[in-house]
Amino acid sequence: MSQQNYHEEIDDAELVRLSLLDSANFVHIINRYQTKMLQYVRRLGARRLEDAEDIVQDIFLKVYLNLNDFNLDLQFSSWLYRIAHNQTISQFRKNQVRPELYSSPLDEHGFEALSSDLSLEKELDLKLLQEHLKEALLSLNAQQREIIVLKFFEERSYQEISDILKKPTGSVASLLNRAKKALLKKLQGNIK
Amino acid sequence: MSDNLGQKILDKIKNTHLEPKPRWHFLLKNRLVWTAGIVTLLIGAVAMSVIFYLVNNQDLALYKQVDSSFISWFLLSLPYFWIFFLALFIYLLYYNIKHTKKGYRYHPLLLISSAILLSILLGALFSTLGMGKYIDSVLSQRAPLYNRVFNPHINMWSQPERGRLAGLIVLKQDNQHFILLDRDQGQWQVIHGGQADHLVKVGQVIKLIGRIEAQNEFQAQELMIMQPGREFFMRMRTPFESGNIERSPGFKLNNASSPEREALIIILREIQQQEPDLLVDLLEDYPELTPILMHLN
Repeated sequence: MSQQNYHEEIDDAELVRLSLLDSANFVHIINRYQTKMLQYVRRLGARRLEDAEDIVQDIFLKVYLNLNDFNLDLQFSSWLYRIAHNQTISQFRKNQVRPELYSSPLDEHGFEALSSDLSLEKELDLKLLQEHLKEALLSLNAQQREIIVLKFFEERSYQEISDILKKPTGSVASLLNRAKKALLKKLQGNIK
Repeated sequence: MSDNLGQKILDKIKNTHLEPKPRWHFLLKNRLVWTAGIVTLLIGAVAMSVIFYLVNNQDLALYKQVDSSFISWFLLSLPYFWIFFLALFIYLLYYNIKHTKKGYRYHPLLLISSAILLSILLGALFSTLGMGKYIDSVLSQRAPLYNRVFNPHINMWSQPERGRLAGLIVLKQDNQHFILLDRDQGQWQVIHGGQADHLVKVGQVIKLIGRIEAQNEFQAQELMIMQPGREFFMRMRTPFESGNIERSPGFKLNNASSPEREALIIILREIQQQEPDLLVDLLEDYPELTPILMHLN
């Protein structure tokens, strides 16, 4: 097995261990997650690509500094998303940026999952539905929007969302439920 | 996304000599959170044990004798300071558990009820071991504002106009008459029907149910031992007994030398034996003699 293949196939925990031994190995963690992180940061509301890239860079630096804090009680991705969530929110606060949904990272697959969960598929033409959903998503508060992004666009499980947002799974479920209700309400308002 | 993000980050790590924080840093942080949690739990449990002690020693059954409803008597006797203190430490315990590594996984209600339950159980254990009594006793000996803040019983038993009086017996005149010093060092001539006679002795801290008969005269129907707060009343004996008279507020014999005080004691003892009524008159005219009177018995 080539060196490149080896690093692609080993699990996250092993990559963390190797990165602690030699910082050069950290690049494999970055390569594995940079696209996902960039999408996530933009879905949370970083409008400009350059801003999102700066945040992602800070996220990985923070991950590197805190590598020793990672333990196997958590999935590495949940731990990474948690740091990304905190770093992005704190960056928004620091720059007093109002999060905005950028169109491209909200992919079709996510919209399909969301409209299927809300049983909206047959009501409108898909393209139009996506436009309305996007508008409705924009009008939700940050917490509701984030939980929808994590569930339908990042495809995280309840347990993972609980670990990312540091909330009990029960609270995640009820938050998601409330967010979906709010989304439906906005959507019905938009369609009318 | 720039393709060279990975390299850019690695360069930054190298150029700024960044190193992962050592593992002990996180272990220490985790231990600190747990230690703070344990300390918080212990303090809360101590507060709980004092609450147990104070509530156990309040005669809730007396409400009829003091013309009160059970609820208002009960509410009057609750140690609000300690309840507030306990609530504060239960919140801090909840905050600590929540900030442990996995604390966020549990519902706040579960965490708060666990914190309350733990404090109650440990508080009950401490109470059994006498911790509540000990803490109350230490505070009643030394804490400023003890009678206003820490122990609600002294307040509720210092309302002679409502038929409740507590204090220190400083002079026993006969089986039915004695002089009592209340919490403000006010003197009361107490008359009682001879009941619970064994409690009437100088230096005893008691509480009375009865009524005001005349100015500074109290007719007692019931006499009981005062438990929590006992040492607070005993403070009044201290200045004279320790010879540190200057600390006694309002005491006018500050400049008296030790032989002079000894002579005064001898004279007063004579008066007590020959003319006990005169001693009562003297006490009314010279209240600063009260601590000395305690020394006569």
